[in-house]
Amino acid sequence: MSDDLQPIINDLNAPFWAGAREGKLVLPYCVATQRPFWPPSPMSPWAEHAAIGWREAPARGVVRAMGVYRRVFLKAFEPLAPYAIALVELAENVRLHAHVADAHGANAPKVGDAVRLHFRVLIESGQPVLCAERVRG
Amino acid sequence: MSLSGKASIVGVGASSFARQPEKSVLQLAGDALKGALADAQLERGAIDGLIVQIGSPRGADYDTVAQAFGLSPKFCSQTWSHGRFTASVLTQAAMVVTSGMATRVACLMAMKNSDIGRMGEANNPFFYEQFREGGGPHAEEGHLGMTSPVAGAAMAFDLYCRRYKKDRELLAAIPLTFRRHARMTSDAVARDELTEAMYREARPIIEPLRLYDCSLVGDGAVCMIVTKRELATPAQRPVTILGAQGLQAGRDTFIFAPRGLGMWQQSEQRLTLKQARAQDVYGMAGMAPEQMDVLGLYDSFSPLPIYALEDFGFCEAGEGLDYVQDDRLALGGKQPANTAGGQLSQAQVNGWGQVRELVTQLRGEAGTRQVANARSAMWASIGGDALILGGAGA
Repeated sequence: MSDDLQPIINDLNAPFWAGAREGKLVLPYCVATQRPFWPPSPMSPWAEHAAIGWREAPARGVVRAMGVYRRVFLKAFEPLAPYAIALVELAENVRLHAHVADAHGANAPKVGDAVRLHFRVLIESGQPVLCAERVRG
Repeated sequence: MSLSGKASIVGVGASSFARQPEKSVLQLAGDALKGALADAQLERGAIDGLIVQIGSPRGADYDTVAQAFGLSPKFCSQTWSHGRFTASVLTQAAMVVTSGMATRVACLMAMKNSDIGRMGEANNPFFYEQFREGGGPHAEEGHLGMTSPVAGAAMAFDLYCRRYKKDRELLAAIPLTFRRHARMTSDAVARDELTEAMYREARPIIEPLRLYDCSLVGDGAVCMIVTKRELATPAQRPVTILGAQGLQAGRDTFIFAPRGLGMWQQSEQRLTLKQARAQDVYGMAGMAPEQMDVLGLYDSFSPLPIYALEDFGFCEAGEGLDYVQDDRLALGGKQPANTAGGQLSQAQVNGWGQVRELVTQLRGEAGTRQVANARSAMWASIGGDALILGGAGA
């Protein structure tokens, strides 16, 4: 349960959240095909009887789509509005949702922009969660 | 054995769709059940099967329904507590009566939202779903601030517009057309005129979606009674299930996107026109998209009918926004759809309003909204849930 607006962390997804606390993007991958995937699963999406491993992925990608929150549904996120959620595509064809701060600001990434993924605490006493910022230059 | 032509809808009833926070959801369900029984000229003792589309916490579960209404079904079933399973419920009823597991199945969708917070908010019973592992039912990730079903719908529409380089303003055709239909529908919740300027200037909810792109979640119930076609009487004005298919799932499906173009890492492999026209529902009915006289399209958000038209082969992938221009979906247009206003304007009752309207159209009882010579009708929802229905003589 999540009265504190925190993700559910368990044995299936623990490596991701352990990585997040160290500032690293750690994803599950299919050992047989070497392809990373999301969300976590105890079975490979592609190969029969394949083992699942975890490894660090380059924390860079491209924004494919965005939704900008003009109405906020949870009070804890009100001070962050207008924020956006970006669909970020990594080089290995994995797509993740990431929080984008100050969505209408000059520095906010737009669709098509290269972004760096990092982990940041968004709300009081929260876990560090996935955020995207534009790669400059 | 094919299910085509074996089972018919013989009774339809509905509650009022107005917000009624003081009412019990059982009162709404009762109005729909009584209406369906009266329409089918049956007494409740004739009902021996019950399938509930949406149970607790927004509706009543199958056992509560049976207890409250003095039903004694020997076959009961229930689908999940969100939308979409409209065709799946009616198809299951058709399978039940065809196989002899029951004779007359009441299919019920009843829900009440006016006494709870909006989905996405903390005081809504679905709050916790947004934080579950693997994401919520609409790809929510609450810990990122990604709450409410609107988010996934907005992001998927953004992805669609970028992929096909389409102007999002083309989408206005959907809510404007369905609103015009609702203005001709006495029990529609939203009957005020909606202009293109009002649509453009309405407040954004989650960009790129705005107020009038989102259905107004409220209160309502619809009940349909399904029996074997050979047991249907002419007085029941039966509407027969000619084709059906269930919901599809997998890594290339997402609740608010066309196949292959949803959230997380989907393939972006869209159905070709040939594949879309070969969906199972057409094979069962032995029919093609252009034979459909009137459509019901799932529209909890306004982009969804666009995707359904593409995934069911009415047009090519990426052409849906152009296809719906020039009043094509309007009454009097080439392909009338959601002729009672859909979820966007009649009532957000998970598509049961659209299927009810298709039955009304095929019975020739739609009054000023009647599509001339409507003989075949189709319910189509992204994700697969689909029906082809035929009226008398089908």
